[in-house]
Amino acid sequence: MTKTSGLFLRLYSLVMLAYPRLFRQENAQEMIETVGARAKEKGTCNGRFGMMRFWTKELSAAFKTGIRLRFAGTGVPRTSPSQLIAEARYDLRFASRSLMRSPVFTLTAALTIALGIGATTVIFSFVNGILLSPLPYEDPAGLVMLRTFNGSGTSISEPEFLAFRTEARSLESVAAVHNTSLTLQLDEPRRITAMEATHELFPMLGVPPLIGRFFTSEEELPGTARVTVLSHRLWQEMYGGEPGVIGQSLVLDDESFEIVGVMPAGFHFPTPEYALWTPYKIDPTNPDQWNNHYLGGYARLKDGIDLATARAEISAMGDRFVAEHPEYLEKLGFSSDLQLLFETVVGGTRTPLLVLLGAVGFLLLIGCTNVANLLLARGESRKQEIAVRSALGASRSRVVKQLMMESMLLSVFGGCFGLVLAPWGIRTLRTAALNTIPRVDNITLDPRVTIFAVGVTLATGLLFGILPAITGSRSDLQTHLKEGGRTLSGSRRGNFTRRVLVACEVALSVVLVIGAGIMLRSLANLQGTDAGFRTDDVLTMRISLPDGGRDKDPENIAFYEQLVEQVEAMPGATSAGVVGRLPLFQGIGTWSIQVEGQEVATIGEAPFAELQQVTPGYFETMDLQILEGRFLERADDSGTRPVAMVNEAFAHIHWPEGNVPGRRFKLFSSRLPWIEVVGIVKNERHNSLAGSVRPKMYIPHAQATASAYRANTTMNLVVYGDGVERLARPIRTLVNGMRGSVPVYHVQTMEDVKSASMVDRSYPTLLLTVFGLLALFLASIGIYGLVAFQVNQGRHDIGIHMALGAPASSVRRRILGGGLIPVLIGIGAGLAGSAALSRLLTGMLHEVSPIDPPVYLGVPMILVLAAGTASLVPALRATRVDPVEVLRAE
Amino acid sequence: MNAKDPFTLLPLTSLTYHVLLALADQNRHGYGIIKEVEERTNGQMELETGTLYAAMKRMRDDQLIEAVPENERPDGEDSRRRTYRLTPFGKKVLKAESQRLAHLLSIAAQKKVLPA
Repeated sequence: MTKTSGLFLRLYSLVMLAYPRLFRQENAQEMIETVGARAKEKGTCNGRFGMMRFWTKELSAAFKTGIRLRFAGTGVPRTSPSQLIAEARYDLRFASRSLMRSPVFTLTAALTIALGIGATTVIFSFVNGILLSPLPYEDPAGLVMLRTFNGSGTSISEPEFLAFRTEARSLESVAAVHNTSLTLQLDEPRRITAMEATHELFPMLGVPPLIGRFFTSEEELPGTARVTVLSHRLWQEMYGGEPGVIGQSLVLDDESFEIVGVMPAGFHFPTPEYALWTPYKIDPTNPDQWNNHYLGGYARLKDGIDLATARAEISAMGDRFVAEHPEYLEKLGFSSDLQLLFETVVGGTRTPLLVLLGAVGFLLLIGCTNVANLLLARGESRKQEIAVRSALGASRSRVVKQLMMESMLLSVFGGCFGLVLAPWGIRTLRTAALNTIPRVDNITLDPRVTIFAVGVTLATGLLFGILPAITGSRSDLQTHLKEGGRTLSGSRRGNFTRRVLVACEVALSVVLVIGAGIMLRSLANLQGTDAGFRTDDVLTMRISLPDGGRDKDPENIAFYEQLVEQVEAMPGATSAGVVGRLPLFQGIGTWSIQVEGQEVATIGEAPFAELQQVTPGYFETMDLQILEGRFLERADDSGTRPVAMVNEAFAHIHWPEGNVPGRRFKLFSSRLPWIEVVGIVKNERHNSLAGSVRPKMYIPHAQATASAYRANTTMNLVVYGDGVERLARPIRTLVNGMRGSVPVYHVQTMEDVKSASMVDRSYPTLLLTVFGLLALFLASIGIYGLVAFQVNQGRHDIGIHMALGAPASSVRRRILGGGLIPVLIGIGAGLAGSAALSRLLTGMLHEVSPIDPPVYLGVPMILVLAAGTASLVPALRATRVDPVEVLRAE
Repeated sequence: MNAKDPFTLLPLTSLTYHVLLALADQNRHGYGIIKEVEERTNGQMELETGTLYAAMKRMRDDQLIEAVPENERPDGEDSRRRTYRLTPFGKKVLKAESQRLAHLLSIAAQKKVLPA
């Protein structure tokens, strides 16, 4: 038997499940053998097309007869599949006509559903692209990241890498990487993000190059040829996808690199912004120091080794490093660990994404509740129609099926519209996410998301349709067939159902609005945090001079001094300065130090602090507050004694008793000079507005060669002044005029920098707020609908009351009260739900409790106000009922 | 349904009649029945396996056919597939249906619809 026939035979066995169990027990084996024998016979003479026809007939016959036999003895009417299809077609036509007769209702319901399904699909596309799709490498579950906890960050040092590489038994291979940025010499010099990596990296990831090869182990030895592997995007951009690029050279940071390979489209490591890879040069016989942590470590688990085992080994190795090298590592509180690569990439986004998915699910439920209520109201007005159908012989299940078809059709309209809107929603949110969302290129409307959307559409139709279908198919024939069959105040049971639905949607809205409220409070707290420096009217840009070695330091220092001077002279600029690491934009490394009078013997015991190289204008430009002593000055240059400023945290740790100016410290090295502290500045927040402040030292750029080994060649220019953004282009021209073509990039205002630093919080907050407002809006519509309906149905009662002398105000109060009760119940349930669920937000909050009293008090008031407003119009309408007209109708 | 009176089951469906015909001259298993019908009708009637076995279940319930017991099967026959045969009642029903059809054909011949 051919492979295809074997597959079909397996399928036939599955289809056999349509038959009743007893029949299968008696006949299945024989039937399978018979059909197999026939397939064999047909296969020798009928060709592929004939076989397809054969299997189609066999499979469909088996299915039909199986189903028929199944229902034969059950009392269920034996409806053939063709009858079912005919019924469904009829129901579809009937439902379409019914919906087209009420265009306003249909459009309102479909739009509500479209909103819910569209929003849910968009958020799910994020969940799918980020959390559910595997990383684009071979067997990504085996990839891990090596980390250390060294007081300053999670990087590893060269000796640690070498030890992991040679000694870790649970790891198949280990690679070290160093993220860097290089100047690519094109027509205009461009700063690109690049990665230096050891030769194990690419084989570990398991993605072969599109053309060419990876690095070899020889190419990572110091002094060997400089080679590079390009990303697909850079290759397309620079060489138009030309395959002959292998062997050509390009210039990076004034050095020539030979292109040895190009990676395929879709490959990126670690993120799409990395344009190329070069070998990380390391001499295993003479590695850097144990305490210099600046490398990333990646590894692949050996086959059969689980994460826990590997983790235990790496942790034990870390303890051994400390025991063997206490002079380097002890003070750091050192330990080592490994984590799944997937977790390091997406871990931080999991909670916010799932919170958003839950929130949008609530929004969809609220939409379903609204539509269910609309259908219930519509059902009341169709009671007579249903009664007639029942009288003509339609069974209740038939009527339910017909009503469900209407709901499903509505849901499909809404779902299609939602799917049309979804790509736009995805694009908008992707753009708004900036760089805070990992794997953003993976977020698309792919087949899985589409199937999800279809599933949600069908589930939505069932959800909002089932209750109105069951309620609507209930018919008291006598009452509804009577001429003018009216009920006194609407169906009691229907009213109760609708009130329950309104209470449910109010409860869901309360949860959403409270969630949004707490996030807004958190964001406001964050925005109000004193960064320690000025952010308005400050322009910043980064300049990268080529690194020509220590000898070029005086030239580079002079360049930046002159640049600052000339920028300050520009109209519109009040002050300017340069700084090594821009706060809230770039991370900052720590350096081990010696404090005079508190010296330690080994670097492992030494304290550490963040290091900033600055020109004096930085302090004025960023409006840093001086607390004691003086600012750095132009006179603090390479010819004078080394000085520095420190921040409050630094001063407090090392000289808590005060009297700081005049104290001395130095970077941990016998070669480097003592540095005198001349002033203390107020703490700046560097890594984030929410993070803690670490001790920091500010060293004059002009003295950095002597005090800190090297003067930075890449610096961030900051300029303060009115309308200072206008200076971006003139400054770029100035730089190029002074130094030829050097990259000038990351041009932005400090306000933009500050906003971008908060995007990981502001982004989900914005979305939650939008959902909360939509929920409030939909709930208000639901409340309006309920009260309006009650007024309409209760016209008779209202007329009688007013005829008996009840004042309009008492009628209004009664109507408003009736609408308020389900709202109050919903608010109560919502508050309880919020208290339980808002714990999930804890990790995303800044200086606000998940149970924040102002929010928990304010939101119910907003809901009551919204409910009152929504009920007001129908309440006012109620008082306009003419009792005479009502009584006349009696 | 009165299983003793063959006329209560008439007219038979085309499928039932063909299966009874296939078993008229010898016992057969399911595959054999399908092949015999196909050959006899020159490929005009191709029975699907599922349809056949469902029909055979009904025919067994109506006592028109039965499975041949193990001990009555000839040696060497493949014991994995059941063989079926007509019951005495089944033979009567087959005969009754055949007579009915013959009667119809004779009327058709009288009326010169078919050659005599």
